[in-house]
Parts: sequence; structure tokens; C-alpha cells
Amino acid sequence: MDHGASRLKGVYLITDTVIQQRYSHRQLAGFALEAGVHMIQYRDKVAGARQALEELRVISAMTRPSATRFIINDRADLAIAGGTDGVHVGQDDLPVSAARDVVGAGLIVGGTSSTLEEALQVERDGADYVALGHIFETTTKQKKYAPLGLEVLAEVCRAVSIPVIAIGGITLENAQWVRDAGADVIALCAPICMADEPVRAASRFVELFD
Amino acid sequence: MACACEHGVKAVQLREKDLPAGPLFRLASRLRDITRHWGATLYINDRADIAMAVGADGVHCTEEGLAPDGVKHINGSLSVGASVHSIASATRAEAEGADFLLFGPVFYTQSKARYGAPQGFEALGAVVAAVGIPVYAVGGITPSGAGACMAVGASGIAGISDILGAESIVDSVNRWRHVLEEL
Repeated sequence: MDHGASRLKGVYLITDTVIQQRYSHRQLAGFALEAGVHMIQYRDKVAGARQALEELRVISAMTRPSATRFIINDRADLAIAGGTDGVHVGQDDLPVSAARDVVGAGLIVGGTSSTLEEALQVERDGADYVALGHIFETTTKQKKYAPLGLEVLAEVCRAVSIPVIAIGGITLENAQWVRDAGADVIALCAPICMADEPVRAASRFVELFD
Repeated sequence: MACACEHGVKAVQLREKDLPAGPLFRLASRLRDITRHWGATLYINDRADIAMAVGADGVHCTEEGLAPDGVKHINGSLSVGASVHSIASATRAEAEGADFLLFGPVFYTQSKARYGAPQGFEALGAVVAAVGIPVYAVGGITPSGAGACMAVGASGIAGISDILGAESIVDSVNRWRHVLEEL
């Protein structure tokens, strides 16, 4: 595959306009680019597809000249129409294999897991990366189960050969442990979207990978 | 749905705004098996990705959702229908590449009440005259109201309540078939 997903490393920002309304997706993506964030995921369960597509096309045009990859949550069709680099699917979304059928080999497909078994399944289904969470307590999403912790993260990192993205409750304080456990990428939402100074907050996470 | 297709429904549109994509994909897969078996076409509301993943015939566009040109950009072989509620949105949908339109609500129906007052079959006729693609009538159309819709140029009838709300889906579909065959 030509999209370089095997080289994923760094900070992954999920843009969210539900937990905060100060900034639009486009503004948050701009902050991420300024800080050198490695991947941006557009996540919006509320916007109609017509509106989302307009925003996606604008953000794709911003990220295309950079090394930052831009993907959309859930909608493989909008990933294509919006000119993005790929799609991320959760356990309630399209199966990874179906998302792959839709976008083809040229775009990134990522999948969510919350157990070792799910992570292995995501890999078998042809994902380019697997997100694992939540690692620590998080307030961004309501969770029905306890945090997985660093041991499960390390176990998953040893078991799969695609990049692992750690998500959920990651802070500047615990990010180094997450990296030491083997995670290639750390995914963040609230610590950047809700920071007093989002660019500065994102930069401090990015520096951990320098 | 198997029951309706067995007795002659020609096209099915899956509309489930509140289901996540995973369950929607599984439901669409089952509907694809049923519609294929009975020779009916299958349209998925808004989600071109689910339409592609299950091999549906096309996508049905709503005014807030993915536009017809968006669907054609993603996959030019998908057929595209679009819901419209005025001449202006009908000509826009045609310009954006829709293959056919659903215009309504023609008559009063609870499931479409939020789209405003019934527009009547004269407005339907005006939309038919304004575009060059087939227009299907939707909204509160009973077998007895179908004649007026076909008389002003509608290509067919789409409905929810009169078939799925019927005491007997088979009787309802058969009644419809007889009405449309006679027109």
C-alpha cells in the first residue's frame, strides 16, 4: 500500500464539536497542522452529509500539502467524496472489511478495538492500523467498561503487526508510559480541543515524539 | 419486506436514520438478498458506502444528506433518487445528476407531516413538467388517489404507511398492483 500507514507515528487529533463549540472542525484542523500533528480524524455524528462534505473538502485541501493525514470517522463514502486520506470505523460502524471494499487499497482504513481479540480481528479484516481504548479513565465518551490499562496495551502491541493507536485518557503525564508500552500513535481529543491554547497543547504532545 | 417483494413491489428504499452503520449494513445485506431474489431494486438512504458494500442499486438523497453529484462522484454506477419538496429543489437535484425524483407530500401523511402541508397533485404536475427525469409521487397516496397522480405525469407511487401499516401487506400490495395496472 502506498499511503504509508505502516509508518504511522505521532499524535492523532480527533476533532469534536460536541464536547466544545469554541472551534469548528476546520479551526481545530488548522491548530493541528500548526503543531505538526500526524493524523487528524474528523468526527461528527450530528452534521448532515451535505454540510460534512463541504468541511471535509476544505480540510483536505489544507492537509494535502503537509505530511499530516486526514481521515473521517464512520463514513467511507465521504472519505472518498471529501478527498480525505481514509476512514476510521468503530465497532458499531461498517465492518473493516466492508469499509475496505468501499475505499479500495489506496486509502487508510482504521478500526477500533477494546480487547486483544477485537484488535486481532481488526488486523485480519485488513485494517491499516488498530485503535485500542480506552487506556485510562476518560470523560470524552461514556464507557461501559473499565479502562484497559498499560498491560493490555502492551499485549496488543506485541500481538499485532499493524500500528497501534492508543486512545482514552492520555495526558502529558502518562503519554510516555503509553509509548513505552509500544503504542505507535497517541490519540487525543479533549486535551487539545478543550485546551486554553490548543496549538500549544498539541505541540507539547508532538514534542514527545521528537 | 419479503412479503411485499413477493407480491410485486418493484423498488425498496431503506430509511433508518437512527441506526449506526454496523446494524444498518447487516439490515441492508438481508434486504439485498430479499430484493435480489424477487427482482426488486434496493436503494439506501444517504449512505453510498453501505449501498456499495451490499451491492444495492442506488442511493436515495435527502435535502440535508449527500447530494446526487456526491454519490456520482463516489461511484458513477449507483443510481440516484432524490426527495424534493419544490420545483426549485427538483431542478437542483436534476442538475446535480439525480436519475429520478420523489416529490411530496402530495397528500396528508403522518410520516411526512414535518415536510409541510400537502402539496396536492397540481404541484406534482408542475414538477413533472419542470424536469426531464421520472418523478414518483409520495405522501399519503392511497390507491384511490393514485389516479390523479398518474394523470399529471407521475412515473409511479412511493409509500410507507399504506403498505407497511396495512393489516395485510399482501392485500395492500395486490390492491396497489391492480390500481396501477389499470391506469
